Amino acid sequence: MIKLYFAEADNSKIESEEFARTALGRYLGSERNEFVIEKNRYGKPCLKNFPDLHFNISHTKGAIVCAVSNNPVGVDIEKIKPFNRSIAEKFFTRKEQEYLFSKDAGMDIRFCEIWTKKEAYVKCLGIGMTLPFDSFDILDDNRIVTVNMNGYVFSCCSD
Amino acid sequence: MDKFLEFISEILEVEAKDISMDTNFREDVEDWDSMKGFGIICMVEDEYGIQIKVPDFLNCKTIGDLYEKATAGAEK
Repeated sequence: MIKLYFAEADNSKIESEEFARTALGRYLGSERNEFVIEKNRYGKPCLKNFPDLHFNISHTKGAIVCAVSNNPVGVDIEKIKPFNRSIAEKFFTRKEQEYLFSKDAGMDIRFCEIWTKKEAYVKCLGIGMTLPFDSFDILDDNRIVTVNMNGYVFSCCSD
Repeated sequence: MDKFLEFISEILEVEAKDISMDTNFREDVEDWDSMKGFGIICMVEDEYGIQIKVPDFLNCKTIGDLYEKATAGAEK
């Protein structure tokens, strides 16, 4: 079972680990905060003392999201804002670009949708930025869910 | 060099006066995320004609490291 926890936060970078500890406690139905967090070689956080419990955090200006699951999981959040066209042209596949540029309305949201899906996917794999972003299409991957709320888009991927 | 800091400040969404070649862009920037990283890679290619490979980018710690990559082979 996957659960997603979302919060708006003044300083999302500093607050994100504490938020993850709270989310993990809620997932397990307790208030305990004894989680020992370590990172794999690519920087993905994992729990030393709960090896079967997986989580992932993402933060952006003003918000944090944490995904908790009993399977490997990746999550990414972005604030909806005008996007960098060069990123789309260099790192999105042709199919993703066709979807992004298909119409003017909602382009910023579609950019966040594609970007967060790709990030969530590679974060789920736990290999960070080492997988070339233009080497895989993400739009039809049904392991990924995307949510659009409060001016943010976030995606979660789990095996 | 000043122009490079201007480009970087736009991507990092900070004032150019608040960063320097010694700034650790991942640790010192409050809202650092990987999209900003990809934005820097794109800017270096678009403005300096240099493609920074992702593994090389990951080895960069400071803005000065990025500047070295962006201007590699150029007369500074």
